[in-house]
Amino acid sequence: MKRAFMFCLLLACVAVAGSQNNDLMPDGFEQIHIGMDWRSLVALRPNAEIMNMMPDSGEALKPDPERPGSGLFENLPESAVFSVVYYNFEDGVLVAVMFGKEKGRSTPLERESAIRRVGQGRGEPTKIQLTGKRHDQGVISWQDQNLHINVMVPTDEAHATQSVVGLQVMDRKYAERINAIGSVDDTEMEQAQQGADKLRLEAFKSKVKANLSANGDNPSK
Amino acid sequence: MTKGAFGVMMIVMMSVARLSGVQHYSVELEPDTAKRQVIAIGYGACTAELWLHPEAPWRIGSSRIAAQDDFLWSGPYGSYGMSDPTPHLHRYLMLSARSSREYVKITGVLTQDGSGGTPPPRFRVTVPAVDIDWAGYESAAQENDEDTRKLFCPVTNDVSKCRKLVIRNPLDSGKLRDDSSLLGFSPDMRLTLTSGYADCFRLRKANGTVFNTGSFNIHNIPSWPLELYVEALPNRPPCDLGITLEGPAGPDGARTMDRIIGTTVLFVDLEFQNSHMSAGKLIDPLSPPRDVRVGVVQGDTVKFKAKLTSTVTLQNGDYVWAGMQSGNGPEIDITFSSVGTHSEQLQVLGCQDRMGRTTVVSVTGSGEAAWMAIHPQYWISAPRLRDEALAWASNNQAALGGGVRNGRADAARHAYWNAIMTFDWNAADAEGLATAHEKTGLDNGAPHNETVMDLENNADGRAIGGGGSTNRVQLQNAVIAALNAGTLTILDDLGNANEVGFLQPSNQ
Repeated sequence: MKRAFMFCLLLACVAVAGSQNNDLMPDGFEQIHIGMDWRSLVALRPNAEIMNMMPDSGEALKPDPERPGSGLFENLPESAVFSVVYYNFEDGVLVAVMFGKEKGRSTPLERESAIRRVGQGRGEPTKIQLTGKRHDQGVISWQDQNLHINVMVPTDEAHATQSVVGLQVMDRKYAERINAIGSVDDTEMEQAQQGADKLRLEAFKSKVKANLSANGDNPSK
Repeated sequence: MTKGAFGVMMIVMMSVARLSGVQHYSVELEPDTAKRQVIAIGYGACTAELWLHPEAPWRIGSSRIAAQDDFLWSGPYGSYGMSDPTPHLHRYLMLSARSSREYVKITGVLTQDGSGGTPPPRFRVTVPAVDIDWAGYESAAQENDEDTRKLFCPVTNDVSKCRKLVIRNPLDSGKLRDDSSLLGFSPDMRLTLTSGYADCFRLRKANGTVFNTGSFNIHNIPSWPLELYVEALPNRPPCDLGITLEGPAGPDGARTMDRIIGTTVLFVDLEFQNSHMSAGKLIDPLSPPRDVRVGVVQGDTVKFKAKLTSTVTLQNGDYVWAGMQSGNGPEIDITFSSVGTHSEQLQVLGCQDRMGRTTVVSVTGSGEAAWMAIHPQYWISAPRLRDEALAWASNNQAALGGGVRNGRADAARHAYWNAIMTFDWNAADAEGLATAHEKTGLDNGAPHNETVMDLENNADGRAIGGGGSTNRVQLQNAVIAALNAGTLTILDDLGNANEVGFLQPSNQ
């Protein structure tokens, strides 16, 4: 019995280790990981507020450590790599972290570095999209057993009126449940892409591959 | 019409009147004397004649009439078949008059042979009238239905909800040269209550004190008309009632009278209670003139309940529900599965219609956290637009009319938020985030009526955002215009404790 317990504990530790994402998080967020609880995150991020896109008068935005909600939002200082971060929770457990920055405040070098940073640890992407049903920008996705990761970058910006530079780290099951970008097969959208759009996508994929190859990765998709 | 033709017509009418039973009243005229003649009018219309004879040796020199209603009285005529009066008979005809309409004053002079040179003596004959009416049914034309107009008198001790009646200053005779005092008769009027069940009602004054019926001195009435309220008493079955007003009695004891009838009923209120509410809320019976609605989230069950002021136990069949759902019994549970505005009516004992209107909204999809996760393009702009809407509503709170929670400023804030999201993004994504926000609120226990209010204002804001405005100032002005026009929605109870607030237009 004791052996069986130890074996289960070992499996659990392996599983947790597999879901760790310390290598993904921007500087200053190394302690944030998918699966952490509400109270711990509230303690780590004192400036985070309740995610509420239209609070009523008098509605408190300061999170109560004892009362988990569905999300937190934090404005980051000018000096940070990103300007905003969203934290999504389900049943008091962190299921998604999303960093964003205005495209106009980022340089091509920063965008390439964001792609390379994930690619270094995760290898080749599982999906690359130029446009989708709910977005109009480049999204490079990596998905493993536990995590779903998206890096958002503006592309040629010909039609992208609302795009962002972003990093999204999510629990895989959560990502699939909400049909996160890159987690579902947007066949319909891809089939609809014609001519110039296909060319744009291929060009974007080539650029992504080049970025990753520059660091020794060998994406084939 | 020529005088000759009119005379012929009157002779024909008088002949018809003779055949159908005309009341005859003979009045002997005396010099410099006022006479008073009560005409007894019961139910229905009454036709009567006044035969004015001078006592010997006097003759009637002339007479003229001043009637309350010129269409009811005519004359003077002579005897039957004679259109012209004689010195010994002036006949006046009252044709098909209802009680309270019979008042007339006939004045004239008497003469006799050899009396020339001195002022002739005068005479006056008055037919008095009293008038009691249900408030709202006071015109002359409405006297025609007074004998059959049976109004419902709710069982309630709230005077403001009681049926009101109006008693007018009696039209009667005074002394010949002084109308300020009555002529030789008691100034007492009489008010008599009759009912099919003992003590089923009583009368109250506007201040709530009980008005003692029986005789009352008309000089004690501080102002006319006298307004009284019928208080139907509880714990009694519904019953018919009559209220009879009699005027002062003359020397002969005769009194003129008028009467109204009614029936007592239970006072019925309609109450609603959604699944969140710990207790029901009455839907104001005055609400139909106001545009109020109950806010309901699709799938929720609302209990509508009849609230009777009296404790009388009724049969289930006495309650008839219709509209969104039909049924019988004192309460009905309705699960709202279709969106839109619906109404539910309640009728008790065939009267006392009550209506509740509901507006049902659908709030499906993900919450705002999940919505933001799949719409990365708005990660930066969404919080900025939120802050812009919050700041605008806060900075202009007073100008918007206050009510930062459930009031006008709240409505304007939601509308402006959606207007700028639509303007900067598009209507579909603005609706997506706004509805996802409400879904999160509902999941956290937000009041249903506030959710409906927000969704309606959000939709109005999107219409404004897509309405052709080209800058922020135009959007703001459009929101304010909608607010003042009543297009936006607010709650009638800003505190909204126990979700009691009704949805109503933003200009109320």
